[in-house]
Parts: sequence; structure tokens; C-alpha cells
Amino acid sequence: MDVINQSVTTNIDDLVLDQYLNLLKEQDQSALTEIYQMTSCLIYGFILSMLKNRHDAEDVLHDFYVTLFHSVQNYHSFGRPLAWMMTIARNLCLLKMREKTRTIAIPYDDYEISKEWENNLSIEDKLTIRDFMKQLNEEEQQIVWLHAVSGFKHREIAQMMDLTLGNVLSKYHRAIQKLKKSFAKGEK
Amino acid sequence: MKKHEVEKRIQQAFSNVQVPDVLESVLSDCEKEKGYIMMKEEKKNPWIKGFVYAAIIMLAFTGVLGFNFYQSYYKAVTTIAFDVNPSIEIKTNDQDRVLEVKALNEDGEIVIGDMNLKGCDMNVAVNALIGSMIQNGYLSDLANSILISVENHDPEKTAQLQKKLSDEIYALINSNHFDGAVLSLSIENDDELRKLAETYGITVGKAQFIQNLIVANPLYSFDSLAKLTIHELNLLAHSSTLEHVSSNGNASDKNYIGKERAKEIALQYVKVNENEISHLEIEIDYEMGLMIYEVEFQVKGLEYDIDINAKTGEVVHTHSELEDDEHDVILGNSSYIGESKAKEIALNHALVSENQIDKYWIELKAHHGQAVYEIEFMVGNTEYEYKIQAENGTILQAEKEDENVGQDASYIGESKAKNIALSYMKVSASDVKNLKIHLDQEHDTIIYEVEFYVGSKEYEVKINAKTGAVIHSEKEH
Repeated sequence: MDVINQSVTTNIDDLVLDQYLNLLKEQDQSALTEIYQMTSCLIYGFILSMLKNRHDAEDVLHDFYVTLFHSVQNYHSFGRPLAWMMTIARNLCLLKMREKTRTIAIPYDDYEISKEWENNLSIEDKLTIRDFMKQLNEEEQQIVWLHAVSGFKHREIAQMMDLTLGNVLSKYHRAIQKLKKSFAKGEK
Repeated sequence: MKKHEVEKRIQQAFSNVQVPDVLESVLSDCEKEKGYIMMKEEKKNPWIKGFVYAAIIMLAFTGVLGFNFYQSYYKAVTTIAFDVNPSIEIKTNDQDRVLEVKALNEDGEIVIGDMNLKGCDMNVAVNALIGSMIQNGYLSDLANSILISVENHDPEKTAQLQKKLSDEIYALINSNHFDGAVLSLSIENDDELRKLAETYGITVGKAQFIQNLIVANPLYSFDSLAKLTIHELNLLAHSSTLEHVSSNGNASDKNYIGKERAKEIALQYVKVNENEISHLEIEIDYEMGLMIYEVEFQVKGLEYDIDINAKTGEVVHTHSELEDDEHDVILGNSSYIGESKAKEIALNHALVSENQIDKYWIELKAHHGQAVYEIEFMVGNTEYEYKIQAENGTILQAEKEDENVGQDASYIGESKAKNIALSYMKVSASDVKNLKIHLDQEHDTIIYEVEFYVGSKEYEVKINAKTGAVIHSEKEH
């Protein structure tokens, strides 16, 4: 059960983020800048991992902060600010994906991945992300990303994705096993 | 490699991803549209715009925690069903956002087409669906009725929605240059009704509407009404006030010959003038699988009941009898076996199945002081006629006759049969009213059946069609 309570720490301080969000309620644009700088990396990574297309991810990233600016009035400072933000991001991604279903999905290959995921990454990071994309299915990617990268508890992920906790746990473990194997292979 | 090392590695890789800088455009967009909710203008498809809009509005309702909101967003709290003939059900959440649009029959699928209404506002969805129904001709000047049923656990909200939707749809239809007839009701939580709806493949709303109709008019059966469109049901409802159903506008009868024309046809059929009749009543009704005008009137002590096909004007059934108070007393009893049971008895006796029969007709009648079900139906060219005791289901009379019994040169002919009948009963032709003659077959013998009234007495004479011999005669008061 230690898995549930153990969450990977991110360098985002919930209390500071909470403060800025409350400032943003007063339409303080500098607060938006602060929030952007604190979170954009995390948000963008999540969006990109869902949409797998840099162009779309950039659009949604923009939409996300504009939406945040307008809906911050509904933010209440108890709870986890990042969870609230991530739900917004996820919803925007789902909308984008629905829109995208009209166009044909392009299958992923190594070339696309390295093209989509910035070229200033180290070889190791690129390989890590490639494995993440290739080894895991959509759902696993989201679960791993939400837990390992943005530090959500499995219980929270279960709520966000409408899955049972057991479901999330087993999926998470299976995904980590896959990655472990894949990483080990790469190191040899 | 340990689990946390895997996690660390992924986390690190993602944190090194270069993030495109959109801060400036975000800030300028927020500044430009302070207080307004807008998105970048790159949406080509208006539906997408609807989605984005929906997303923002739905976000604007965000509660304490995002995912709590997420859950409540996808929780359907209201079900709205539309019935015309296409039946469509939409589920919305507590902010009236559409979560699901479901066609309940083939026509419904046509109406929905490739519209994707998920996520948009209820009003937008309703507009789109009604528009499509009009475009596809399901709602028109000729058939202008729609039933809206609303289901929500909160009765206040339900009533409010029901009223709102009814008004809006009424206005919407009327803006299309014809008058709408909008029925609306609130779904009651009734498991039996749900089962019934499921069995017949109709919406719960339609089932409830039919049930209300049956309460108002116990002669209808669920079985027969379930096949009708809402427009036809609305026409039937028109002659009675229904509880729990609100109605906005009148059902159009433009597709039918109209009451006035039905009256003319009936009077012509009986060959009387309008000033000779009394107690005229014309109602639209559904019998024998047909929408009919039922024209009732009295003339010289006789009560006529003439059923006319509402579309073609063809007289499909006539019945005349003496005005009789006893009649009502007998038929008012409710302890009878019921129409469906009577039908079953007749079909079992005739050794035919439900789907073989055609032109089915059933009527509860007073016959010799007792209540009987008179059942008629066709199987191919053979006509069956049954009289079944209404209290215990005893078959009093079973007849089977072949329509092919045609005229034959060896028969004596109708006019001769008539003369024989009149002279046999010792009545003069001038006293006779409502005389009917038809060729029939009884126990391998072709006969003429002659029926007529003299004053208030009903006569029936059966004559051998070949020999002219009177086989049977009956005088009934």
C-alpha cells in the first residue's frame, strides 16, 4: 500500500502555486506569468504526451493558460492546485483529440518522435521518451506521466481517469515493468 | 534498475523538453478579452467551436478539485426524450451539457445523422435535432406533433425544464411557417412502465403518454397504440383531456379528410340529410390498424356508428342499432375478460396466429342482454367472425366465410332474396329501414343473409341462395 502514499516530488510547491492562483483571481497578470513559468514545462509535457503533436500541443498550451485565466474564479485554495490545473489540461486535450479524430492519425515511428520532441534533448532523454511512447499504450502513458512526472497520487489519477484504484495500480506497475525492461536493453 | 529510478528517468527526460513560449500570446489574449471567454480563431468547424466553448463553460463551473468536477461533469442528471416518430434520447449533466445523444429507432438515426452533439449546450442540441426533424420531413404541416419527456430526480427542475423546452420547441417549429403541437410530460419513476417501454422498443415518455391515453379511454390497448406515431396519438388524445401531459398547439389533421368531409361521407352512406339526424359526434380514433373518423348520430330511433378511413375517406365499418339504455349498463361492467384475451380465444379457435391476420376488428357489444366481444378478422380471403361471451370467454358463435363466395347464375339474386325475406316476415318494403343483404356461407350452404329494421325491431333472415328457402329467421327487440 506504500505505493499510494508515495508520490514523486516535483519541484512545484503547492503552497506557492496556490498563492499565485489566488492572486490571479484579482486578474493580476504578473501572477499568470509566475504560474506559467512554474508550470508550463509540466503542463506542456502532459499535453504533448497526450496529443503527440507539437503543433497541437502548442495550441492547447496557449488555450490552457487563457482558460486558466478565465476560470480561476472557480478555484478554491484547499486541495491540490496542480490536480485542478491538470484536469483542465486533460479536458482541453480530449477536446482537441475529438477534433483530431476527423483527420487520419499518423502512426508513430522513431523519426516522428525525435522530430516532435525537441532536438536539444540529450540522447538519453530522447531514448527515454521514445521508449515511453513506443512501449506504453495511451492509457499507460497518461498514468505513468501523471504519477511519475507530475506527482499525482494513484488515488487521484483513478478519479481523474474514471478508473478504479486497483486498475490504476496494476496498469502503472505493468507500465513500469515494460519501461524497466526496455531501459535495461538500451543500456546493454 | 529500480522502480524509482525508472520514474526519475522519465521525469527528467520530460523536464528537459523544451517548452514553446506562448506566454506573450497568452498574456495579450487575456488582456484583450478580459472578462470574455474566447479561444484562438483557428476553428474551421463550427461544432468544434461549440466544443471549445462548452469546455470553457464547463471549466467555469469547476468545483473544489478538478477531478471532482470531472466526475460531476460526466454524471447524467437529466434525460430528455423526443418522440415524433423518430425517437431520440439525450442525457445532460447538471449544467445542461449534453453527455450522450442516442437514437432509439432507425428514424432517430437519420435525424442525428453525423451530428456530434456531445458536450454542447442542451439548447444547441435541441435546436439541431428539431431542425433536422423538420429538414427530414418528420415534422411538417401534415404531422406537427412532438412529445418531449423530461426525467430528473428534482421535480422542480423537471417541471421547469419541461415548460422551458416545450415553449422553445413550440416557438422553433412555428418559426418554420407551420404550427407545432408540442406535448410534454415529466417521467414518473415507474418500473412497470420502463419494462413496457422496453418491450415495445419505445421511450418511457411515449409509454407514459400511451398509458395516460388508455386511462382516458379504456377501450384502447397498449399493444395497438404502441405502433402509432406521436402525431397519431396526439390526434387521439385530442378528444380527451389527459392528466400530467401539457399540450401546446393542436395536432394538424391536414393529412386527413377532416371531420366535415367525414360527416358528409357518413350521411351519404346512410342516405339521410343533416337536418334529420341528432346527437352527431365525430371523433378521430384508431381501430383495425387504421386512423379513422368515427361518426355517430341518431336518426329515427336508430343509432349509427360509421367508421371512415381518415386518409382515404373509405367507409370501413358500419354499425347501427337501437338506442338502448340497457346497452350502456351492460358495457359499463369492467369484469370482462378483456379484448386481448378475447382475441386470443378467437385466434386459438381459428387455429391462426397473430401475424397471419388482417383487418382485425373487435368490439364489445350488447347482444341478447349479455355483453359479447364481436371479433372479425381476415386470413387471406377468408373472413372469420366470432362472438365471445365477455364474462367467461365462451365462444357463442364462430363463423368462417370465404370472400370468394361470388355471385353465381344459379343464385336467386339479392332482390329476390329481399322479397322472400320481407314476405316471410310479413312486413312491407316501405316500413323497412337500414336493409342489408350479403352473401354468406354457412355449413357448406351458400345463403343470403338479410338484415333490416322495422320500427325498433331488428330482423334477420337467412335464405338458401340456390333454392330461396328460408333457413333461419330472427326477430329481435
